[in-house]
Amino acid sequence: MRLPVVIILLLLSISAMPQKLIRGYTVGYAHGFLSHGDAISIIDTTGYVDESYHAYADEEKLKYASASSLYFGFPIEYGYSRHRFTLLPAVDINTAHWYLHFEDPESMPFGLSANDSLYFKSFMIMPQVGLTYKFHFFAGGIHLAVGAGVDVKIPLSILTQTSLVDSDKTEYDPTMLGYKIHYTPNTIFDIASNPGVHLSPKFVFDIYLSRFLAINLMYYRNKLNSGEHNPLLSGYFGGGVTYLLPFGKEDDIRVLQQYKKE
Amino acid sequence: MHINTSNSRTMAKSMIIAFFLTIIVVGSNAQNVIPVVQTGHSGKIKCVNWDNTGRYIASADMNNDVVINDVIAGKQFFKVKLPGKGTVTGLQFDKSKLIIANHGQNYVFDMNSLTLEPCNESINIAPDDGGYKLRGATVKKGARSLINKDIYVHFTQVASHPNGELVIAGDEAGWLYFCKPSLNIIKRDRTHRLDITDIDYSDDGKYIAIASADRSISIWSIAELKLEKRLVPRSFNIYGMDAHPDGSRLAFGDELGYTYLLVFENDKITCKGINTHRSRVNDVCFTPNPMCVATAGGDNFASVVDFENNIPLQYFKLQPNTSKLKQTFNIKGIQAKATSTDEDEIFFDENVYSVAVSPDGKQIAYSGGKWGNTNPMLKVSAISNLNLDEPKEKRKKRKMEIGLTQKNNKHIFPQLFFISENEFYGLGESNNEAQRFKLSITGYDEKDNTSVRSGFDDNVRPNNMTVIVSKSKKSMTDDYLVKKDLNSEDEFSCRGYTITRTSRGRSVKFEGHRGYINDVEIIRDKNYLISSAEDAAMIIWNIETGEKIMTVYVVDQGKLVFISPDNYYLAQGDALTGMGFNYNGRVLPAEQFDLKYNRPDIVMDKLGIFKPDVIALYYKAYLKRLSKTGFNVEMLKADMNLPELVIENVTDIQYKTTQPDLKLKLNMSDKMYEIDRMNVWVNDVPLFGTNGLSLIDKHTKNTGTEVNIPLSEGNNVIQVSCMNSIGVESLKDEFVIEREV
Repeated sequence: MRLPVVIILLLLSISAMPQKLIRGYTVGYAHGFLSHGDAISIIDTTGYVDESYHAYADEEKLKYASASSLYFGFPIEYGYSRHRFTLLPAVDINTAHWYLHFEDPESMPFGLSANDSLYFKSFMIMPQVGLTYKFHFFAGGIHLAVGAGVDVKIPLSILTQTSLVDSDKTEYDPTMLGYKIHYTPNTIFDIASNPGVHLSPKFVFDIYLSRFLAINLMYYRNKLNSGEHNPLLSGYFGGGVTYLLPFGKEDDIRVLQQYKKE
Repeated sequence: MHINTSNSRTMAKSMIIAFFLTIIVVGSNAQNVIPVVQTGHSGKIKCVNWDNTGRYIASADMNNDVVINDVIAGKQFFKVKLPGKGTVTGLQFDKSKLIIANHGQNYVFDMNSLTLEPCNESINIAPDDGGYKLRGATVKKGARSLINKDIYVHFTQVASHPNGELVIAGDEAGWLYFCKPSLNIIKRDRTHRLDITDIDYSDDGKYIAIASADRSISIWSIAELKLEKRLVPRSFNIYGMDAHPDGSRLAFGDELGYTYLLVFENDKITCKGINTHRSRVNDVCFTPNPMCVATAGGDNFASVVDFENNIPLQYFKLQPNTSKLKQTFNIKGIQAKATSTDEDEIFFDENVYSVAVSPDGKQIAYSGGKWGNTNPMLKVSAISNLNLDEPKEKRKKRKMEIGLTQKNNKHIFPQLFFISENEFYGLGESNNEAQRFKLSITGYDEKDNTSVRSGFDDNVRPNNMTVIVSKSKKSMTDDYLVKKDLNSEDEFSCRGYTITRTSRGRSVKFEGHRGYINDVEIIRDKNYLISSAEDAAMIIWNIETGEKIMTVYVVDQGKLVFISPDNYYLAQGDALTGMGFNYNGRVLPAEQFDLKYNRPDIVMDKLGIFKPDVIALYYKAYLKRLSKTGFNVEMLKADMNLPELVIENVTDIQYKTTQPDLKLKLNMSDKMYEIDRMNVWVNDVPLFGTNGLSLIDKHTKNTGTEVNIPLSEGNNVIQVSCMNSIGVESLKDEFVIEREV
């Protein structure tokens, strides 16, 4: 309850200052790259002692090992001179797909052949609030901005699917079979299985096509791999479009009120 | 010191006589004396230019009005309207001539003869940008750049000082950036609130004039980068008007939000103004009580104003939930704005466009715009608690009301009109269509519609009632406002700046406004057509002939000036301060011509509504005023030589100073007689006493002298004049200087 009040008070206070608030809307798409040098732990809980197995991203199916983020939001900008802050309430619709293969297929206690596979996918709707500092500059008359910030994401609607598929296309429910999959904290599937507040640092580069229309290029960090190995590449790269609208200049007629002699 | 009182009194009297003699003599040469109402601009200023002496500033606005200000005298020198449809693109002084560049046809204005003629000369103003270029939110020159403090606000003007040591840039939010040549900011200021539209340095490089779309011009000293003066408009456009059925009252509202009640009484004209709205008054309407008027404001409120108690009795809110915060997060509004191609469209429209009060004074109806993507508002509210039919003591200020509406209302009406206690029409939304509404317990119900031209029942046709047949965007080529007199076949259509009355196939044109027409009203029993326009003027016409009877200006919020086409005027209260007289290329205080042109008797006679005995009384009063000065009407026909006084160092006079005194170099001359004395007044206090400073010992017809004038803190209005040996005084030269301590 306090946070919205603080935000509203903040907005009220800054809107009272002479520098005009700018607001608009933004839509973007970001593609997440999953690490293929990474592993995930699967714990067999069916025995007297839990046994742990490792699975690795399937290099052959790497093209499927990816995440997608489609987001749209309503940025509010405020700042002074080149320095501006963007508050971006948005909704992020995130999906992830990950095929794995096992380190030692022969030792697998489940499945019947080496062709059995492990497949994760998730679908999340995450409201988020981003705060970004941007530094504006001009290069040959082109208006550009670079910035850094953080997105606070709160997964709400989550649909995860974890499937162990054997070569005969028989699916096993891992919970029924008594397996637990351990996700490293702050990884994408951990987010999916453990909703909470997640922080994503991000970097942006804006190219203004016109005064209020900008193309946004961005990179934001949100762990996509299991976290057990250092990934070669991890995070989202994306692009979007932002259209900003000022409140407009002062009303021509109301400006005349300054000439009133009370 | 012993003072000879008798001599002093005699001398004082002779000086007064001399002064008025001067007035009369000069005044007799009527074609050279033009009254100038100090209106300023009534539209966005587009360009500005200094004259070579640094005394005059010319500026042109979007209405094609060119205003010349005498900066030293602190008065508007003249205002001229460019004919035709082209727009002014530039101004350039050439000594006493002003060349006005205009699309298609250039003009030259002669400041001595006050004539405007087409010319083939073109203006040749060297660009003063010094190589600095505007690129959106930046000003650039080579590797140097100035970036706007609001990155989304673009610069609109940049000008480099002739000596190259100062660069001034202005942006579309009215901010001024005073910079070094390296574009490092020295000072930033926001005197103006809208686009900076032009920047011009004076020829001596000491001052800079900055024009803005907010209708003002600021003058800055280069040495201190200090605001010296701001030339602001003093008259504002009049929008809604309503003529009372009794024919003796006219209510109107202006851009500033004042509501006025003008009353033609038996023996005088009175006018009262009440500050009602925080934006312009779009519409006014009489209530059954002729001293109470309903208003529709651009600030989201309608109101009922009581001119007996001098207060707005009650406000009625149009849009219930409006706030900047809501605008911020109104996504539909953002989308609508992003996809709209109409720049003039207002998305968060807080205008109440029309208002009407029921004949019994119990209900008020008001119609307004859309706020965001909501439906427009048409509301009604009960006002019986205002006791409009009761004496003024029973009418008290009431709390603001929200009113009742229908959620599905889609109408925005520029006029509402009650035909009975519980029925009203909305007019002007569609051509020739009147939409009927019936009051109900929950507000109102929409009923059938009818044709405006077919008229209403005979019993709902109040006198002087004009109804809108159609209303559209203002245009030079199409009729944008058509009103119909309910009691005749007359229609009044407005196109460009002209009104045309059409009646039974015959048409009469009313030409004389200098801006788009805002409203027309009729007072049938006085034979008046009254129009308001975007030129800050209200004109009273002869409805039959189209002859201009009188131009009315509201100066300084509530002071009315009536000027007849032959320059006689009637100024209410101290409205004279809003006047000046242009004589032989100089602008002079109105008092100097007051005796000649301040003729309420002539003005009232021309209005044609006052009885001869009333006019005779005013004429008698005028004669009495004359006789007090020792003159009669016959003396007006006299011709006489006047001494002349010239302030030689006039261009050295600063608008503001910290010095305790001011040195003036004066030259006085007379073709026939020796110069006898001179005098200086500071804020109406004679510096050398009522007798002035004697110069008789010099025995010369041409003499020069220097005087030191002590200045008091604040504004010093300084007047100087000289008198010849037969007691004739020169015109007073007047200027204003502000002393800062």
